[in-house]
Amino acid sequence: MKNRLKIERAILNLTQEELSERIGVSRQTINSIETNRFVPSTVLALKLSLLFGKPVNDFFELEGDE
Amino acid sequence: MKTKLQIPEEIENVNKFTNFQLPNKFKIIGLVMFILSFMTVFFVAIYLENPEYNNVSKRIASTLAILSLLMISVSREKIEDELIAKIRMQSYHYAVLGTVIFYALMPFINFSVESINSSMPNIQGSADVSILSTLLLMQILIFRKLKKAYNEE
Repeated sequence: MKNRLKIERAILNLTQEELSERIGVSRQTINSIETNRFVPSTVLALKLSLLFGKPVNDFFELEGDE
Repeated sequence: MKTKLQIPEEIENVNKFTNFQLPNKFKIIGLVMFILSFMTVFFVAIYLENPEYNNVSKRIASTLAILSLLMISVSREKIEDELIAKIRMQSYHYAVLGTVIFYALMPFINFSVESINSSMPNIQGSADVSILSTLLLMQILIFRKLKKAYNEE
């Protein structure tokens, strides 16, 4: 799964630390999502969706044969 | 239409057990306790001469060492989130498989090494069989129970 989290974060001018505080996770979790090492749960994806004001599909996308 | 989240009792009970965590400061307390109890095992072996007290003291110290490691294992991180939960689950998974494979193979490796040096080699390690069986049986039973509970209509 690829994502546009870094871009969406840049649009809101947020650091990883600030984003992590807003959705109640650690900075490492945000970093792991951005670098595609960790796929977040639906709950976390929906929290991000609420913060970015966009549907989840706008910043998370399935890749290849997933 | 919103539906209320229904969690079967079996899952609730396992959740209560697996969600139990000590506060973050217990990582330091556990580490200090581990070092102290580990040192006690050595001091008891060196300085306590009466073998009866020696064995009891060593057992108490080694049990405390294990409990302190357990304390570190079940202590919260500063920020507990789903990534930490995943890492914790992966580490338990790895620890179980690693321990089972290590202790299942070790007696045979020891036996092979001993047979090179001795004409009457002994195969050791019988206590580990009951521990490993308990560990794996518990995992299999809880897995089946949870699988059934999650599939209940």
